[in-house]
Amino acid sequence: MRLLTKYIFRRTLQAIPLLFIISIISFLLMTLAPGDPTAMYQNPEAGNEQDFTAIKEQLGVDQPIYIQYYKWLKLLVLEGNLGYSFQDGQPVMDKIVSRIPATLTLMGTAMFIAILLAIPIGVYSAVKKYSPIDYIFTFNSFLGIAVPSFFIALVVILVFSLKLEWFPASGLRSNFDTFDLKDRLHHLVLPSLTLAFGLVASMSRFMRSSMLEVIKQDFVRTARAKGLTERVVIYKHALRNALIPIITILALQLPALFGGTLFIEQLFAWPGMGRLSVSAIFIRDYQVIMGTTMIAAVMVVASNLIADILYALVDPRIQLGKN
Amino acid sequence: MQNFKKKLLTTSLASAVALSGFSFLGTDSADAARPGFDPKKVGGKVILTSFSDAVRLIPYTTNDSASNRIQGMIFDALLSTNQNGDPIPSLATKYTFDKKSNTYTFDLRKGVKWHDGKPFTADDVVFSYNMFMNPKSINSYKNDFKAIKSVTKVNSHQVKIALKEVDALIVTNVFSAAAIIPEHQFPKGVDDYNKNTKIHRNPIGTGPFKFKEWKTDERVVVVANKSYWDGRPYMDEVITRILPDANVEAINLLKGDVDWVEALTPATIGQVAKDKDLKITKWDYGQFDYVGFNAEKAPFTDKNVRIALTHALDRQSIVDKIYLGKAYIASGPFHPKIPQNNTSVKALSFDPKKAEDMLDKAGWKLQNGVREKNGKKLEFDFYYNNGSKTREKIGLLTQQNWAKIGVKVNVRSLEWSIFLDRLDKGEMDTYALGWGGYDGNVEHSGFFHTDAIPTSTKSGNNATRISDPKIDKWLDDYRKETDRNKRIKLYQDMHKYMAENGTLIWTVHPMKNMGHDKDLKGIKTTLSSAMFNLQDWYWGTASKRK
Amino acid sequence: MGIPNPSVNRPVALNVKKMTGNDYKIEGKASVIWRRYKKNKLAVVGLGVFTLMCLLAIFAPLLTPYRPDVYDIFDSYYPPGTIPESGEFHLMGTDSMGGDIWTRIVFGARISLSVALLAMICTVSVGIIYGAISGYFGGWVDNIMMRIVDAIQSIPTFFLLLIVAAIITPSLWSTVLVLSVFGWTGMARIVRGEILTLKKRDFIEAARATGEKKSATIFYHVLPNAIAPITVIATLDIASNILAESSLSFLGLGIQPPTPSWGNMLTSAQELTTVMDYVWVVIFPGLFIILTVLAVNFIGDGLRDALDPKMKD
Repeated sequence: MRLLTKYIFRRTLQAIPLLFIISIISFLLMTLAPGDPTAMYQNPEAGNEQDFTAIKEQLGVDQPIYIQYYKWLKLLVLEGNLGYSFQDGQPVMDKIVSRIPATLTLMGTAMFIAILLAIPIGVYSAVKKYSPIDYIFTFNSFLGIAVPSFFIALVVILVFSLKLEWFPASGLRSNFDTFDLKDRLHHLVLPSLTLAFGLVASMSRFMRSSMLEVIKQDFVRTARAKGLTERVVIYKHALRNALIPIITILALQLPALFGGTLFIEQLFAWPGMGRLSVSAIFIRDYQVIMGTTMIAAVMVVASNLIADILYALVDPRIQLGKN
Repeated sequence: MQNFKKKLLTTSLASAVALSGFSFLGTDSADAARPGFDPKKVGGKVILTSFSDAVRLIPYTTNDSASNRIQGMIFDALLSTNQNGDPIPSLATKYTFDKKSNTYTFDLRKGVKWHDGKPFTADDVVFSYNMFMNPKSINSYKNDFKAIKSVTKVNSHQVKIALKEVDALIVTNVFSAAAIIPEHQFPKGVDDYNKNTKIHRNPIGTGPFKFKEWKTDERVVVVANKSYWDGRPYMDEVITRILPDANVEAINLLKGDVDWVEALTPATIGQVAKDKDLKITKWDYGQFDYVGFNAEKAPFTDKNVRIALTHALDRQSIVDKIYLGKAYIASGPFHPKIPQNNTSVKALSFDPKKAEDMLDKAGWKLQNGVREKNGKKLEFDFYYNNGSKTREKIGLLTQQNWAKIGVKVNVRSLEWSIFLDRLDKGEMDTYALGWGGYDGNVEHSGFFHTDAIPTSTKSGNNATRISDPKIDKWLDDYRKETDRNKRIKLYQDMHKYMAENGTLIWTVHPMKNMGHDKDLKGIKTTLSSAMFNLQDWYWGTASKRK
Repeated sequence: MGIPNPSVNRPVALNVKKMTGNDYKIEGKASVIWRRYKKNKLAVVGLGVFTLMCLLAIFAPLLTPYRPDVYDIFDSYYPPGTIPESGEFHLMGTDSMGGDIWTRIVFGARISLSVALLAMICTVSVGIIYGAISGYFGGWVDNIMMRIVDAIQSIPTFFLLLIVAAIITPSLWSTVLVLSVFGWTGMARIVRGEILTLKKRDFIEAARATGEKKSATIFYHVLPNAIAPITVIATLDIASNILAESSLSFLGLGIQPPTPSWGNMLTSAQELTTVMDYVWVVIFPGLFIILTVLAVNFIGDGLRDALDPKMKD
């Protein structure tokens, strides 16, 4: 356990320079790319002589890039403040925090459903390799992978909301007065299932292939030879060893827990982070972009740390940070 | 409903006002109902949609349509405009103009209260105008106020606004557009105006609706101001739901979850039309679309090439197939429903044969399928901003049409910021674009005047780089001409010239199609706004008015 | 891939009868693999379908009387099988611009298949090499290499793409390049994860103990055992590349219309009217994408079984 704490501590320390570098590169890319943050204040109908010096000064974008970056960094390091949105003057932290509950709910539910479905599907497909059910799963997976999510979402809304009227078409809730769990869940079903569909597709493929590998290995055969039941063999011995790629895939998906996804949020009018970050990108709201980027970076770093720890947990032969 | 965004919205009466000191007689009583008010229509709520969330709700701190629309429900300006765009009383019951001192005097309405109960006075007007003119305030509209010298309080209900120069358009451009904000809400003045998000998210106005609730990216709710000076609106509640996708807007309308969508896209009209509970009302919106280019670059310097390209473009197909019949073929920058439109000007015909002859005469000879002149091929790129299906289709249609007369076109999409960047630099050969939001007294110098050509140091909207002394003169004279008929005649002449000269490749004036519940009554539109009279909307069926 | 058998199982039998001259070993290997591959019927079907797709792409101009870049908007939205007055036949109907869908599919196959395959090969090779080195060496090498991946995954790609889009003219090669540059990091992570467990297995330890060179150990012992997740990711990569190509067009980077690609044919599915009234416009390209991806998947399955060092003959 002490080893683990030490390992986490070491990796966290390493993350600081990494995040610093990421912030510099992101800031540079953002400011060098075409686009102008004052464009959102430009009034296309206002003729020609509009003067934006005052607005530029107020936003601080009249300064050289390194000064802008320095100011941003100083505020973050000294006050833990992510700055203020160029668009509406709100603290970036507030804007982000206000969207986190909705984002986490949707992404968390979708990922949870995906894990819950993908693992059994993958295991079953592997154990009953080349059976009709395996082919059905295979076909479904590729439907989930090869069909764009906006198409799936649109079809799902048309069928389950417009035609069958089982679920609401869009939004987070209908009841704005109190927290109504039933109402919230009702709204959550379609977007989370749509999102999970794509996730299950790829995760179950990985699960299947890695399970296929594992059940051929000696220790599984030994377990079988010892007369253990198939269920025990599969779930107790084989599954654990087959989880490595699933952990990697999950780690790759984890940043989306806080980052959201644009298409689903847009088609289900879900008030999530995906919409915030994309609209910030389009209007070049540098402060919000840096805020969401840094949150994403922290999530990437953290999820890979978690993945590395999980590797060691499911496969004790892997030692943390050792060669 | 006031549309605070309108910059080109000027009125036909402006000149008359400037000359004679024309004034209104308005009601002074705070709880009077407007003429035609029918108490039976009161009640119910209406759910509207908006593509994007509002940004801030304090007027002029934003220029996005979502914010402007909500601000228009909550705030009033000194004057307002009627459906024809003529000024009518609002927070000012009467105004006079003194030509000698170039000063306007406004008598303010008595007994008007802010939504928080505080009285509205001349101090608020002075505060508001000074705020909008404050060099430190972040707003996009400062330029509109540049003719104003000073705003002074005479007494608690009278204000004088003195001008530096004659500005015949100021009545509608500023007095009918600049919302009055409550001084007592901004204790720290410009700092609060620029940055205080609490104020920006809880606006207090004098308008027909009071702000109730704003859930980010979900909805904004306003409720009827029952003591509105012009009588309460019929609806008890107006909810604006944020639905960030055109398909989703239409689906919610079909489901009955929303009652009104401002503009359906060609991709959704068909479905809404099939629903017998819904109605599609097409409305005229002041807009012109065109195929632009850099007028300083060959071959677009040649009038014959421009006209030939227009002849070769099948604009009837654009109307029929891309806008599903809901557009007018354009012959210039003036919407057919405004007086500046010269009715004697006919749009150029679709005539590929004639186009070929013209190009032949202009020296562009066909060589292996593509025309050439002096070894240079008639081949260029056509750009559109990505995500616009309509413009993509126009691009592809243009490519097909022009290929038939030996002009090779490569269609390319660009991300909006790159598109704008290249537009300003004049780097795009040809592109699809449009301008919208003008009405009866359109003022087009921003788009066609030599002074409006963008340079590296100066922004401007004349990205096509049209520099024609004749056009400049019409534009300048129009701004100075105080006689309404003469002014309109100037633009009519300019229209004729622009059509004959092929100043741009004019395409269409698209209409907008609002979709709404059949039972939603009383909707009136103007060329610049679909919710011009929101306070008069009502439900036809009694059960919906509960 | 010629792979000496690393596993504890009995060596892959070389077919001695087929030995010919110098390169008998490779010849023998290949035939063994092919023999194993043939056993999997679906893998053979998959190979057949994929070959067919490639043939469609190669012989596109012979398979249709129309050109993909010439169409008439007055022919728009013909349902499949329509023969309008002009007497033209539209097997799969026409799209919103009047383009013949079958024509656009066969020509689109050229773009989509080459982009997807080339980009897949690039991402997979870079990802494998990177991930393998990182995972096998472990320690600080791994730490630094993975932190670089962290950084790449955290940077807002949109701006990088915009900078690229502002500079280059889109082409097939730029599309492949962009997809490859941004696609390899996930691959690298998955391979690394696999290698981390593999390298602790007995046979690897054994190979190491015999003093074999590290690179040899990686390529002859470690990677062949990671073939399963690699085939999966390669398959998924093809699918996602076909779709991603069209999102690049959105930034002005990918293949530009009217040049057809399967991905950009699908973008019309963003319109309600297409989904509800003219669904054939998206169904057919969608079908071809799914068929291709399934074929690739079965090829991958077959290859994995055939190449698997642990698999018995």
